[in-house]
Amino acid sequence: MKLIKKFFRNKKSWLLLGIFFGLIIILAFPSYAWTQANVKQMATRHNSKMSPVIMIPGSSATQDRFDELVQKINQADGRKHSLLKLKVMNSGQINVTGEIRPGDNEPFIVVGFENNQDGYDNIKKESKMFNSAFTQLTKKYNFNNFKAFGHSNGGLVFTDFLENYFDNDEITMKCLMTVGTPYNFEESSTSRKTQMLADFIKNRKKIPDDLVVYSLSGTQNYDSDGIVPINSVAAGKYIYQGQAASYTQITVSGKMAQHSAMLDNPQIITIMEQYLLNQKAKATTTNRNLNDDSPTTDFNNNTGN
Amino acid sequence: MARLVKILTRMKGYSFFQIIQRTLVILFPFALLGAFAQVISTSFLSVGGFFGSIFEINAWLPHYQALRVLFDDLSQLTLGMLTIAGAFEAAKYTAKHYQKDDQMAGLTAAICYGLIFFHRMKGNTVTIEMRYYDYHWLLVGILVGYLVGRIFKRHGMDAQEPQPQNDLILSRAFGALKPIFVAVFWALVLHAVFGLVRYYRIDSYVLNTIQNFTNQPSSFMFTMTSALLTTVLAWFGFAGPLAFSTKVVETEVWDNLSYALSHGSSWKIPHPYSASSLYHSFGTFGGTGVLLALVIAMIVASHSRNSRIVSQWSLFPAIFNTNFPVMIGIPVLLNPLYLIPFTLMPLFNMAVASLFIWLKVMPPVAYPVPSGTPGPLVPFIGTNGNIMALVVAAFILILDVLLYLPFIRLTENVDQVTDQEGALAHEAN
Repeated sequence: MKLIKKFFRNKKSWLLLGIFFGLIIILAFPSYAWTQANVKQMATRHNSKMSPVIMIPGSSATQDRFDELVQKINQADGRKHSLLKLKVMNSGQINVTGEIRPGDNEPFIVVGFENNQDGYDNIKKESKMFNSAFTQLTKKYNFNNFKAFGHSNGGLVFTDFLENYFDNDEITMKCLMTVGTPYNFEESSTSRKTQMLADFIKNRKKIPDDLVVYSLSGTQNYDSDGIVPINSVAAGKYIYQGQAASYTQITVSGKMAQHSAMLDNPQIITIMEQYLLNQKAKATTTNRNLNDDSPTTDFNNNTGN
Repeated sequence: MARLVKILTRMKGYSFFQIIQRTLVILFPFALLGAFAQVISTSFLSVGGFFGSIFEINAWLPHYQALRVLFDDLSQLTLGMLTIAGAFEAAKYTAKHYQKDDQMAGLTAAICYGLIFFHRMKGNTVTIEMRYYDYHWLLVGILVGYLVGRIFKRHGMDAQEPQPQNDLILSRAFGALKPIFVAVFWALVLHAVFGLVRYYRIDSYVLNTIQNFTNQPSSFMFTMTSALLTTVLAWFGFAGPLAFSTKVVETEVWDNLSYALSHGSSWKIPHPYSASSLYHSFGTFGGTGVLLALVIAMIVASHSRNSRIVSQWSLFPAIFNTNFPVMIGIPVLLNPLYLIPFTLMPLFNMAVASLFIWLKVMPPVAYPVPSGTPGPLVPFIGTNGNIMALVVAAFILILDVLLYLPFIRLTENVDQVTDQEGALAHEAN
């Protein structure tokens, strides 16, 4: 009692403690608002069922490069994936065409670039631009996982993105499929490593170890698809093999195995449906969620079907 | 009680102990400055900080990153260099205690300490690990300072009357040459030994061992043991196992969060008593040792004017869980009087909180909390705004304040006896 009396006589300490408790109570209100909003946003992402396929075309190709491919896939599986196309301008501005139908859990999203030239310097620029487009997409659509599909240099952009930008606890890249991606550019021998391949190998530890990777290549003759040497595609093993959860190389041959024709190849479309896209039965019966979602086991189950 | 006071009074009489206390207190202003800078940097100016996130600092404050760097630099050069200053002061007080040249001893100690931990890394670039100079190593710095002071006692000249003549200053410098050489010689030996330790990565091995200790699934007993280890190490000034985050801890936190997000609440999360969530939510009001409670108790009840002033200044950083101003200003660091509450109070809080969680009064903490959140608000935010969590936190804080009161009384009794003895000794002379 004496203590309390003495305490109240000391005006300064009374004032300080008053400010302290007042501050805590006042701060409780914005804290409440913040945590509610934050948890809601996290829950939306965490419980989201959307798992888009994000695609990057090769050099000199535009965001319209996959129109036909998507159309063929839709005809084949009858699921009517929607198609959203982004074009990143050199100024950083992003132009959007198409839209994602509400309720579509597996839309295709194509990211093209105004500057779509060849060369390592340009890959680096595109990867940076892709990162800003990707950030925008994650904010808008709140998906917690996605699949990546890169044709030709598009696969290089994804690799650069994985090694230099992608670092997200809440979002996983489940699967990466590259078609005719020249990991060693036009070098036909892996003993001569380009600067790009050397950098990719140096930073390979950044590649998520739960990522499933498929590298598809075509052969017109015994050593190239007409444009990219098969050894350059195969050089992807130095980057992904042993680091990613699995790394599978598939080679197609025949008259539609030419570098650019591969996107029309029915074999490639079958492979995409089998390994890249959600399996039909699975997609309707179970809710995907981040934790029980181990891509490797998914893949094993699927092949059993 | 009287006997305890007597023992503690005698302990306080030892010269080493007095030197530690004086050194710590004189560093207080710098610790305070650094703590303010650190709070402003982490809590206000960073995107993941408390004010930074709830008021979205990045949306309206231009150049907030540049501002943050400014405050970071300030805290780096105060808190980050505190141990060098500590070595200086400890040597100065030791030399003074033995009536030796205290300035020379201080400078020598600062240089010696710098030398012991100064190793250039491999390659051409000069990078020096700064962590050996920051406040976590203060104890080592004080020890080095004390030893340098003892070297000056053995080899140094007695202190002379200060006279501003060049000759005298020079003779003072030459007189100090022998102890400086001896001190630098031993510092070089330690420098080499420590260089070998780092070359063979023994230091990171030790660090990994501490980290691995917490790398196991949490149970209530394990939670309490690692919390105790953390607080005891903190009393010596070092970082304990709970200051690190390990794979298992991360997995548990993620499991909890994932469960809470899928089910819309944190009531039934799989690891309700995990070490990191209990300790960081309830065991660290005002930083390690629940020092926010000590600060409040001091402001309310201390008879000592100095302690009250120190506490008033330390209140602001303590709200944001930065506790070294109190650690150093009271001081709590290495102070046997506060060993028991400092190490056990966090455990008490965790036990009480576990009880309330077990009784289903409040849900366990599972959601993310921004860094630098005021202590009592951490459980509130971490339960997605459960009002009972706020009430429980306030209840626990008030209990802590009451529990600190007897220890403040004990300290004051010991101080009183020390003062009386000092007065008696003075009269006897």
